[in-house]
Amino acid sequence: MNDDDMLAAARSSLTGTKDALTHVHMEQRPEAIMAQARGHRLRRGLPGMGAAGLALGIGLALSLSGGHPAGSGGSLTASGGSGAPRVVHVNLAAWSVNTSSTGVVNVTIRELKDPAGLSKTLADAGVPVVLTSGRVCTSGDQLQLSRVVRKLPGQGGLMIKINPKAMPAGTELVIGVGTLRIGSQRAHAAAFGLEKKGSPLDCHGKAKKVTS
Amino acid sequence: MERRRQEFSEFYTAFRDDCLRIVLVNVGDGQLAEDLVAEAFTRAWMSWRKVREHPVPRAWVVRTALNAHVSWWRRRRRELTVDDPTALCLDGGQLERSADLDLDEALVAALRALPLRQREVITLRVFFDLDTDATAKLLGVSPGTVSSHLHRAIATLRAQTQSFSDQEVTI
Repeated sequence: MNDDDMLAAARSSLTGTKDALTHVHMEQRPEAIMAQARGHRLRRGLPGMGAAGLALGIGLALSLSGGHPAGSGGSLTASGGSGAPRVVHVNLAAWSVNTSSTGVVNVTIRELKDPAGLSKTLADAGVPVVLTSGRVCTSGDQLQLSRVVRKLPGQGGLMIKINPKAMPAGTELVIGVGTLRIGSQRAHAAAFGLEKKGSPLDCHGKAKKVTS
Repeated sequence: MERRRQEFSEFYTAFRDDCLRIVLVNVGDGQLAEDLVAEAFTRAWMSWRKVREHPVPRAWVVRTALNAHVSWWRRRRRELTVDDPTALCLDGGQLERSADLDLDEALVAALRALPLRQREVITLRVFFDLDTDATAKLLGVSPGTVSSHLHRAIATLRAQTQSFSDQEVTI
C-alpha cells in the first residue's frame, strides 16, 4: 500500500468513524461562547487578546472530579435501581462510592479489587451495574448513556459520575474497567454501556463479566 | 457589532458538531473534546476579524482545539479517558491477540498516538480535504514540511495498524 492508498484508507475510515458519532452534539449555545470570550477579556484586561485560559476551563472540569461526596444527605430515587437507593459513603483503598445530595453517585476506582463488593455498593446507591474487564460492551443508546454516566479526567484512578435518575427503568449500567496500553503509554480507561437488566452483554468480542 | 455576532453565531451553529466530532476522534474523551472545542470557538470569536477571513475557519477551530489539547496532555499524560467505547479494546487478562480489531479501531488508536504536528496534518488532510499547500499555509510551515510530516504519519499509521494486534491491554 503506497502513501496515497494509505491516506485514502485513513480518510475513509476516520471520516466514517467521525460520521458515526451522530449522537455527539455541542450543547453550548453561541451566546455562551461569546460570554466566555468576554470573561477571558475581563480576566486578562486585554480586549481582543487571542490567547485564552484553557487551563481554567479544564481546571473547572477537573474540579468536579474530586471523587469525594459533594454532600452527605439526601435520598436517591433511581428508576432503574434495584430496591430503594440510599445514602452511601464507602471509601476503600481500592475504590470509593459516595452519593451526593443531588442524587449523583461519585465513583473512584483505583484498583478493581472486590468487584462483587463494588457492584453491591453501587446497587445500594441506586445503580444496578455489571462490571466487566474485557472487551468493551456498547449501548445502542449513546445519547441516554451520556446522561447517565460521565468519566471525569483526573489522576489517581478512574473517576466516574453516575446519575441513576437518568437510567431508564429496567436497565443496568455496564462498566468496563481496565488499563489501556498503546505502545509505551499506560493509562486507566473505562467504557460504558446501558443494557436491559439480565440481557446478555452485547460486546465486541470476549467480555469477561466479573460481577453481575 | 451585531452583524459580527450574527455571523459568528451562524458559523458556530453550522460547524460546532462537526468540529466536536473531529476533535473527539482525536482525543477520545467527550467532555474533554467539548471543553477544547468550546475553548477554540471562544478564541475564534475573540479573533473573529482574522478567523472569518481564514480560507477554512472550521479547520482553524479544530487545529486550535488540538493545540490546546497538547498543554492539557502534558499536564495529565498519565490519564487517558475514553467515551467512545468502540474506539478501544479492554482486556482483563493476558495480552489480547486482537486480530479481530477492525481497521477503524486500529486507525483511531494510531491517530491518537501520533505527535501533534503529524496528527494535525492528517486531520487537515483527511477531515477537511486540504491539499499540501493549504495545509502548509494553515500550519505556517512549508509545503515540504507538510509532506514530510504526512509521510511519517502515514508510515506510523501503516505500521501501527499492521502491528496493532501486538499491543497489550491489561487490567
